[in-house]
Amino acid sequence: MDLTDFLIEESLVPELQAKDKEAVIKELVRSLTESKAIKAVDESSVVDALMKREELGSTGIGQGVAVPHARHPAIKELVGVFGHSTGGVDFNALDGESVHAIFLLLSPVASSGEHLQALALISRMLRNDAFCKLLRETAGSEDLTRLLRDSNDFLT
Amino acid sequence: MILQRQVTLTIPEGLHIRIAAKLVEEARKFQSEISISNDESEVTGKDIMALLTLGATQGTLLTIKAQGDDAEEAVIHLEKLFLDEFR
Repeated sequence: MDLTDFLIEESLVPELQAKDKEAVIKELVRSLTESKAIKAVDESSVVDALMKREELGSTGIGQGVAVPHARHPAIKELVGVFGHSTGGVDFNALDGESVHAIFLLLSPVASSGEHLQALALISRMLRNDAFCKLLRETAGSEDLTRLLRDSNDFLT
Repeated sequence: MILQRQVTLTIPEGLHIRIAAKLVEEARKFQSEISISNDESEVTGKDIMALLTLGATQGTLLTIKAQGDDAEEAVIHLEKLFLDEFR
């Protein structure tokens, strides 16, 4: 598995316009809809599912990263989208820091294994300082796509 | 003192974010160094991102290891968390 197995490249948001958690989630889901990864008719219920999950506890896992996620009946296989915010977003993160990198994941109702694998992969990347540095540097540019494609090179 | 216990992860969703966050919160109550390992890698029990790298699914055999003055209290407490499925 690599990041581009589930992160939809066409949906990448190099610079998020939204400034708060709910608006960021909506912007990322809208981006998935625009690249036809999810159907427009499912957009609002997908947002609801993601927000409901946030109520259980923030998915801001620290170090400026959040991984909002949900299962949804309309999702047939794991899909995700990456968004970046230079200014940072308040995600009520576990370490209290604002969030700059957001990996939003949507899974089918039935599976959990793939979702855990994706989380593990993202976490392994983010523990690599070189990857994090490049992620910050390329987040707002075309180079981001290449970084995500080549991201497995950073696994040790 | 180094102590360790093995537990089987019974939570259906595996070691997901909420569980990892709870584990970190509890592990940080102890002075001891605490690690969690599967058969591939060993990571600190006090860092959520480290725990998530394990990608531990239901049924995974995990080892809780503690080293320090309160190692015994730590492994007993953390083992109980797993047995109670973090409720």
